[in-house]
Amino acid sequence: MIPEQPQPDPLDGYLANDRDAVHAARPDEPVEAQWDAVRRRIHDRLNPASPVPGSGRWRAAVCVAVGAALTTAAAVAWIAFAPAPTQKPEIAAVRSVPISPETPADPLAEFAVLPMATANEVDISRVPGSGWLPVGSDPLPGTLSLATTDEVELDDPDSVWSQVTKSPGDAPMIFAAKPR
Amino acid sequence: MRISLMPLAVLPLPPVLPTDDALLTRFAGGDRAALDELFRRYRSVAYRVAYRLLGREADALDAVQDGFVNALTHLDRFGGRSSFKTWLMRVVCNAALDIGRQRKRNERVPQAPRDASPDRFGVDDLAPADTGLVRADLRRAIDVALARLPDAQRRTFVLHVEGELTYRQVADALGISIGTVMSRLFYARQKLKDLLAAHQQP
Repeated sequence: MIPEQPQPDPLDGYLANDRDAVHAARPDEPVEAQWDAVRRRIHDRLNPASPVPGSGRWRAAVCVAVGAALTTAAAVAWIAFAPAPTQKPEIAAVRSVPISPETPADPLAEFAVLPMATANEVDISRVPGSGWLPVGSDPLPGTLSLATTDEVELDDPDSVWSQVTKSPGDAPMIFAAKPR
Repeated sequence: MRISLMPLAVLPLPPVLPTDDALLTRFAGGDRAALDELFRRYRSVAYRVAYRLLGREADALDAVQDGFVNALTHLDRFGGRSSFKTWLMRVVCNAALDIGRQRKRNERVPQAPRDASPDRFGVDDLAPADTGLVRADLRRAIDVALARLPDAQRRTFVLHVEGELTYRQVADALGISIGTVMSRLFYARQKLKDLLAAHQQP
């Protein structure tokens, strides 16, 4: 006797995106007449009844001509009847408004930069009692360059540091000076 | 055993369906038949997505109509960045949301399927599990549970399961990351499981 296999739960199948279960749970489809009505309305909205060829173009040409004539007439009337200015209007002195200084040229543009830290790796703490609050854009929007490659010299490691290498794949390390 | 070989030339070749891009090009050239073909191709999946988001046949058909019109009117925004289906599903989804807002239906009232027996169960009183869920009851249970999901989870789940979109396509359609799609699906499934389990308890 073959033991009965437990029927898979259709809801579990639906949740697991089992295609048979999803298919079984599909809502009823509209009948063809409903589809056809939707299709026709889409056509009507995308292709509204087009105007009689030619008549629209003719009407537009008349509108343009009438508009141009009215504009010309108004311009002539303005020139003919506008009062002449008796005195020159004083031009108010334009106050000089300080503008933000131009972005200074990048002093490191010509150098190959040795990145030491990114903005995310640096915390800026306000110094208590400093008396001023820096405002403006993020002073560290990108890489914080502490030195250029020309300013760093790599010496051969001392033989006592057997694990120290000069290979370029090693991360740069800075050793704090030992207080004396 | 003898096997008679048939020349390849006489084998009937399957008809080559035009791609969506080809149909869209033809549609842009004024070919109305291309629109009919696109409509036939995607009407069902668009309807299922809209129905699961709105819960009513008439509203879902309106959303399908709005979706096709808007998707084809704003093809310049589509720009071929995703498949037409993904673009259409996105627009149908938005159309369904608009219709839902316009009709101020904060709570969905599921519509009884046409082949369903007269309502015997309330929204919270579906058939117990030991009677077995017939198809109509199964659909109603899913409708009710889906209606209780948060909007974002419902849209994500519906596009994936009913819209048959991949994670990547759902992410494109909703403008979210794949990670967000996966987490929304996870939480949606968890919640649906709880809701459906509660319905099945006698």
